[in-house]
Amino acid sequence: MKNQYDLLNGSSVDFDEYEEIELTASEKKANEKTLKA
Amino acid sequence: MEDDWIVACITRKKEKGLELLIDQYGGLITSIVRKHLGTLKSYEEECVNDVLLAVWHHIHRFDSEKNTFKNWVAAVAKYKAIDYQRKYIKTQHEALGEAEFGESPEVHNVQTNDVEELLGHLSEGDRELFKAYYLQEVELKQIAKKQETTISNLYNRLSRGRKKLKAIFK
Repeated sequence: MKNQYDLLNGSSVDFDEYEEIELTASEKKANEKTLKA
Repeated sequence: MEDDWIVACITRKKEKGLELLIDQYGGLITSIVRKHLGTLKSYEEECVNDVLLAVWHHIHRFDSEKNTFKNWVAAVAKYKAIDYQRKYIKTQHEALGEAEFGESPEVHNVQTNDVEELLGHLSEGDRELFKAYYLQEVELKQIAKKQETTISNLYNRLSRGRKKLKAIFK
């Protein structure tokens, strides 16, 4: 049975809508630390 | 090539995959979440982490023949952010906003009582956590410091609490 993550394979995101943010090294580390905790 | 490597690492549940994902797409995910959550910045960190965890746990659902990894990750971020806004933020802020601005004291009391009643289904500790995080918008970092616990533990408690409330009010 397909779930929402399967269905997202059919999605197309317009990247122009978003202003990409460059994360700092410390922000990246903080994300990793939280997820690995 | 880089994406193939990230997917392979995450599929094998190697932590390196998480690092590569954050390094490559952390900025894009944050950008998407920020745009959809608007000024409600206190939810941003939680939502970004939820997106990263969703990619980690559901990587087997990604189909490289149907989509690029970047597009799939962005779609997951957009889906999560909209879901967050719809389920947790909009309703709360509508209720709170109306209670705080321009409503009569009676309406304010009814809505406050509704919130109290809703949170009454949680343990005392979780109730205080929900109030601090969702109503007073205290950062998780501060709550964790005050309660001498980890942010991860607070996420788990918030997640469990939300599931419990959703199950009750479904």
